[in-house]
This record gives sequence, structure tokens and C-alpha cells, in this order.
Amino acid sequence: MLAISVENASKVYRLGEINRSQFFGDAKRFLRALARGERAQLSDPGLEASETPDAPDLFWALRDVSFDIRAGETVALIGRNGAGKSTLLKLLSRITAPTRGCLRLKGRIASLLEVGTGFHFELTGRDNVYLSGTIMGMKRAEVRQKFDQIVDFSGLGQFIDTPVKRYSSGMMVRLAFSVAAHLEPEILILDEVLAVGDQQFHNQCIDRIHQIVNQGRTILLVSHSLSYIRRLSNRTIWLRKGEIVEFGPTDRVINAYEAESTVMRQSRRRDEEGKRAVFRSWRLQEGASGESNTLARPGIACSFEFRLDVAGALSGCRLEFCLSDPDEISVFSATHGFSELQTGAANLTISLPSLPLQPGRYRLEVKLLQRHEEIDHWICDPMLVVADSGLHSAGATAGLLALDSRLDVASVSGRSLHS
Amino acid sequence: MIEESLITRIEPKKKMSFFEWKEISAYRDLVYYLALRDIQLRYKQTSLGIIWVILQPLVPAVIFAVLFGNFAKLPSNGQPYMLLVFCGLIPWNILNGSISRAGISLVANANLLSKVYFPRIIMPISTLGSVFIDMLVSVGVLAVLMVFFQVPLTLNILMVPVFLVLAFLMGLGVSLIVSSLNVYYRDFSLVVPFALQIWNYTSPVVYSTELIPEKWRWLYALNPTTGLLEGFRWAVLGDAPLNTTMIITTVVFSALLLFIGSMVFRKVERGFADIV
Repeated sequence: MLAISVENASKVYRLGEINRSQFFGDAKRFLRALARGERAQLSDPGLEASETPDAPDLFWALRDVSFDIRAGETVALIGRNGAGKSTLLKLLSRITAPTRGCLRLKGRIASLLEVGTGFHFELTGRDNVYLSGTIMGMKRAEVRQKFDQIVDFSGLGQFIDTPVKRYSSGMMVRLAFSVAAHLEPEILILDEVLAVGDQQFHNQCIDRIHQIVNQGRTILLVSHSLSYIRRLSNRTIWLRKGEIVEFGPTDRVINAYEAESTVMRQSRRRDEEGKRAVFRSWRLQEGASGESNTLARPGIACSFEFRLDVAGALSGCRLEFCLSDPDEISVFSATHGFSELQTGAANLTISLPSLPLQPGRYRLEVKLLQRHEEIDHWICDPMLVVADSGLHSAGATAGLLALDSRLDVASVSGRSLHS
Repeated sequence: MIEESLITRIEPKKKMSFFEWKEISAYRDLVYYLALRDIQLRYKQTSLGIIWVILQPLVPAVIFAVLFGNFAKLPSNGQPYMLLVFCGLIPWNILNGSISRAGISLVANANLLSKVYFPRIIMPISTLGSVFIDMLVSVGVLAVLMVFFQVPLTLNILMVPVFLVLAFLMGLGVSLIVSSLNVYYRDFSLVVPFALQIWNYTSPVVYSTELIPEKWRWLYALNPTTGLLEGFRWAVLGDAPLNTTMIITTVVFSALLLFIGSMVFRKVERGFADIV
């Protein structure tokens, strides 16, 4: 039995400024069209099917998307920003009309496209529960009947008569989710709702969603958190540029999606090809061993090893190395010249007798120059982490360096400073 | 299989269609809570609350009574001038309130429209709730004034609700046009207060139709509010006989405005979320 059936759904937007329409211009066109017996058209970014489909200023947010979802399934939607996920959800929740195609839903649908939908800051939690419940399609009697459950779930009992403007954002999210979680629609659309709240509330939400799934409801879920999607959904739709890339079992689709994103990340670094040398990676060596980016013992010798891919031999090279704190205040920098680099891979290692830094995250930057020409500049990813090693300046309250300091007090005899 | 009636079909915009009343009535609780929200927000952090609702028509009524009634000695059909003005202000405030509040309702609630679905007409309709509350309070004040001025009750008073409903229908008709066009052209939010002011001056709100020279009355009666205001006055004060042309104009105009308003609203409502 199908809960959602989508056939060739497309949505086209007109690019550029949409509200530049002039009343008199539109009115004139409207009347002229009316006089000629044609269909009058307001300037509208959501177009109608009859208009030319491939004009350059049109953006196809969705193009001929078709799929079926069975009742009781939990299906996830993934895709990069702008892939059309939100547009699809907007169509399904009837916020906008499709340009073409047809979507069919069986039963009541409720969507939580953004947390706190319909919440008003001036109203109390109680008023907001009623308001947002009815906005999402509940009857007053239904909200009243579930009110205690909703409040219990949110854990905000003692704040329920306080205006929502005094709530923290976490509290608001809990209340909003609690209302949505008690909607009991046949179809529930969730968008990025899971990305908020503390760990305990997260788990509570996920339990609740499992519970809803087990009640035979259909859930459509959008999240950037792939681990949640793996836990919650059986099947996944992968959208790219308004079209479905793949729709199948969650594990298969997510693996394919992740594989593609990794390729894209690497190829972005490879965009810099054409350069004669490119920094690839770095690692930290502490004392004799160590192969992480965490500096555990700031007091002893360490070295930074940079892997470099050299496409064409270089000569008269210089390596600039800079270490700075997250506010980009430079802590240490060095420049080393060297004569040449052979084609192939090379490791450049900078060694320091010690790196007495306070615990925290630090930014590493390396720059390779040939004479005065910049070959590659890399802000290292990941950052350098300095662990809490117990090495601190005595009574330090500020500063970047962790140095042992000592105070000596000696009286200078024979002479008085005040005379 | 579930029966066909449970299936929602979402398709491209149709050319013309009427409101789905069944759906709208399924959302009537939402009308209640949105109206409640508006009312709560209007008076939530005011310390005098209801006093403001009473003062709103009372203060202008007193001012106009002194200026026009006592100083300018404008005709008032033998009634206390203050009552004449107050009777004009009640239906006028319904019109004025619904047009100015419902007219911006869609734009003001853009965040809701772009995130949740409900029949869009719920939005302008629910704003009428706060206008309704204001009206109830004003009618209460009117009753007190009538006792104070010892106005004799006539059977005409039974027509009061009819004229009030008429005022709301006319207000709703204009609101539907203004609110939907306001989504497309924000000019309307600037034009409306201005237009309302002109409409106020050309309607017998703070003066009586008697002021208009006899030979121009026919033209004056074409203003749909003339019949509404004079009709309400007639129902409350029950003196001068009712001019039927005026009433017919009012009823016809209200129906027409409501029809055109519904058509315009229907035509553009599905595009709201893309534009607002």
C-alpha cells in the first residue's frame, strides 16, 4: 500500500530578483491579455507548465522526480545543499505547487520543516503548544487531550506558563519537537530536526521516531547526519541537482553518496593541479614515535612532516612555516631555503627542540616558494591539537606559551632603596 | 485500500476554482488560535488593556461631537451628535480594522506561510477575530451611551447584527484583495492607510448624510459605505426613514467585493510561498 506517490514532479523557479514587478505594468499586461481573451499572468517565480522549459534564467529545483513510498516506511532524503531536498518537501507538504507532475498522499500529512514553526516569542509555552498544534493540523480537542504527554515529553513542565522568549533555544526546540512528535499524522516530514538538543533529548527523539515508525506511520526524513539516517531509515533517496541519483536501501545509497563526496573533496585539492608542487598531508612526530596531529608532550622535541607531490623539478626553493593560534595570532614562524626538489613525492620535515604551548588548537600554514614565486600555500587540515600535558606556566592565566618560570627573592644588603 | 477521499492530490495551479469550504472548516480551530494570538499580543503588555479598546472610538466621538456638533452646529437629525458619530465609528472601525489588519496578514506571517500548509484564507479571516472583539466592546459602550442619552429603543435594533455582519463581509472582501495583492506589490501597504483616510472623509462617519446637498445625494449613495453607516444609525437610533437605494448599493457592493476578493485570492494563493 502506497503512502506517497510522486510522478514526474518538477519545480521551476525564475532566477534573479522576483519582487521587482510593477503594479501598473502588470495591471496593463493583465488587462491586455484579458482583452485578447488570453490567460492573464502575474509575474510569478513559480511558473506554469506551458512556459518554455529551458530558458536560461530558469532554475529547475526539481526535474521529473518520480518515486513511491509504501505506508509505514521511513525514508531519508540526502543530497548536497541545493539538490532539491527542501523543494521536494515543500511540494509534499503543499506549501508550493509543482510546476508539473502530480504528487499523491494518502492520509494526513504533517511537516516540521523548521523547528519552532508557528511559535510566537511573546506567548507562553502552553499557548504555543496549542497554536503550533493547530497550525500543524490538530484539532483543539486533540491538543487538549495530548497536552500532558507533550509537556512530559519536553520535560519543560515548570516553564510551560513562561513566555517562550525567555526559553533557551534548546528548550524551544524540545517543545517544538514534542508537539510535532505527538501529531499522529499518517505521514510525517522531518527536516534537520534531529540536529539539535542535547544527547539525552536526541535519544529520546530517536526512540520516539522508532515508536512512530512501529505504529505504522510513514516518515520522510532529511538530515545531514548520515549516522542518524543509517539508524532510522530503511530506504534512502539521493538527490542531485533536482534529480534522483539513486533510491534504494539506505546502506547502499549512503555508501555511494559518501564515495562520491570523498572523490569530490580530493578532486578539489587536485584543482590546484597545474601547480608544480602541492602539499598533500602532514603529520606530527613527537620524540621517537607518534603519528597523529596531537601534541601530547609540549616539553620535548617534535617535528612536523609535510608530504609534497612534485610535478616538475624545482630549484632555489624556500619553505615558510607558520604556527598561529585560532585567532590567527602568529606564535612561531620560520623560513628555510633549500636547493632543489626532484619530481615525485617528497617529505619536508621541520624539527623543533620543544613546543611549549598551552593546550588548545593551533593553525599550521606552510608555503612553498621558488625564488619569490609562490608554488603552493596550504592551511593544514587537520589542525594541530596540543593536549593538556600538565606542563603549565606557574599560575598562568593568559598567554600562549607554557614555560617553567621561577621566582627568586633576595634581599640586597647594605643599602636602602628608599634613601 | 483506503477510500479515494483520503488522498490528497498536489498538482500545478488550476485556472480558477472556489474555496474548499470543507477543508477550511476542518481548520476552524486554527482560526480560533490565530485570532487568540492576535488579541493576546495586542493587549499583552499593555497595563490598561481593554480601556484602550473603549477609548479608541470614544475619544474621537467626543472630539467630533464638540467640534462639529457644538461649534460648527452640523445637522444631526435631532440626535446627540456624539451618538451620531459613535454609531458611524462602529461599522467604520470594523471596515478600517479588518482592511488594515487583514490586509498585511499574509506578508506579516510570511514565515508561517513558507513553512506550513493550511488554507491561506485562514490568515486574513483569523485577523478579523481581534476586530470582532473590538467591535463587541464598542457595542457595549454604545449601549451605555444609549442609556445615558435616554434613546428610546425601537424594533429597528433587531437589524443591528445584520449591518454588523454586512460590515464584516465588506471588510473581508476588500481584505482578500488587498492582502493577496500586497504579497506581490508591497505598494499596497502604503496605499491602504491613505485610501482608507479618503474613504473615511467621503463616508458619513463623523457627519450625517443630511450634510450633503440634496442634488448630490444620488452620487453619494453610490459609496457603498453610505448605506452601511446610515443603515446602522437607523437601526440604533431609529429616526430618519431608510433610503433603500443606499442599502441596495451596500448589499450589492459587499457581495461583489466578496466575490472578486475570493477570485483574486484563489488565483494567487498557491504562489504565496514562492513570493512572500
